[in-house]
Amino acid sequence: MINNSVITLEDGNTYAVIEKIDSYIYLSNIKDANDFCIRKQVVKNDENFLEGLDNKEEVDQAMKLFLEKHPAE
Amino acid sequence: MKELDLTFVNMANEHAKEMNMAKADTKAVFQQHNEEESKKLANSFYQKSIQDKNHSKSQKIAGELYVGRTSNFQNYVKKATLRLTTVVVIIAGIGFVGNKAETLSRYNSRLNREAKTQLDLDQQEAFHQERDGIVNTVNNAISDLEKIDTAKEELKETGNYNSLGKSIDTPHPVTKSEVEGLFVLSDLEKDAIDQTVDQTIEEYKSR
Repeated sequence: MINNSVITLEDGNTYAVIEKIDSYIYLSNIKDANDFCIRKQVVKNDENFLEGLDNKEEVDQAMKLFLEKHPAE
Repeated sequence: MKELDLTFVNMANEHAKEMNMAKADTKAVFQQHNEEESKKLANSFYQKSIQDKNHSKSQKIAGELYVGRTSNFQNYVKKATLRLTTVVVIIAGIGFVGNKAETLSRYNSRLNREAKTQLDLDQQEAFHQERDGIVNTVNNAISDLEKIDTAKEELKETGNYNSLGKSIDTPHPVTKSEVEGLFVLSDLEKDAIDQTVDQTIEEYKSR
């Protein structure tokens, strides 16, 4: 059975999906509490791909969406 | 699946030890991180998230990704989300340097001044609730910069600015502190800030 709540990235580390907003996937390294990153899910020819974001501006946009959903107390 | 569940129990236990960090007052956490640590954090985060021409971050996945639903997973997610929120606040807080920091500083200074004189008491209360404090400042920063960029584009279309952003009709006098400063805002940037301040004040007035 495929478990799509965790994924191994190109760095060889396993990350848990901690949030999904639109196409953005927010990932946390299960072995390093300070290691996070963002990816986006895209569909190409009916297949699902996970890709890095285009640039810093897109990362800022994804961070903004995250903060809107999880406002810091 | 059992093995993964155990991993999350262990991770949740580790995170439980760091609850103080996860629930710490955001402002305190922000102040704790010195600039060098914060820059390292920001660089690492951007580098890990942005597509790299040399090392592809593209991978095929079977089906869609989702947030796990077991109680152990959810427990882990709760704590990781709190940590990521803190990280994002730190990164966003120091992500604006140079020109952007100067822009935001001028914008907020003018906006606060206009709010005092133009808004009534109820409007001022709403204004301060939504804009005061480090969390609001960080949360508003990205959208404020976007609004100012939009204003810049609108003003450029008037044809009143040269390619360096200097006003053709009414160039602004340059102050001594600007000459000595590292990041001098152009006439276009200053006018875009003023326009955005006016728009924001009108939004609060209309409530």
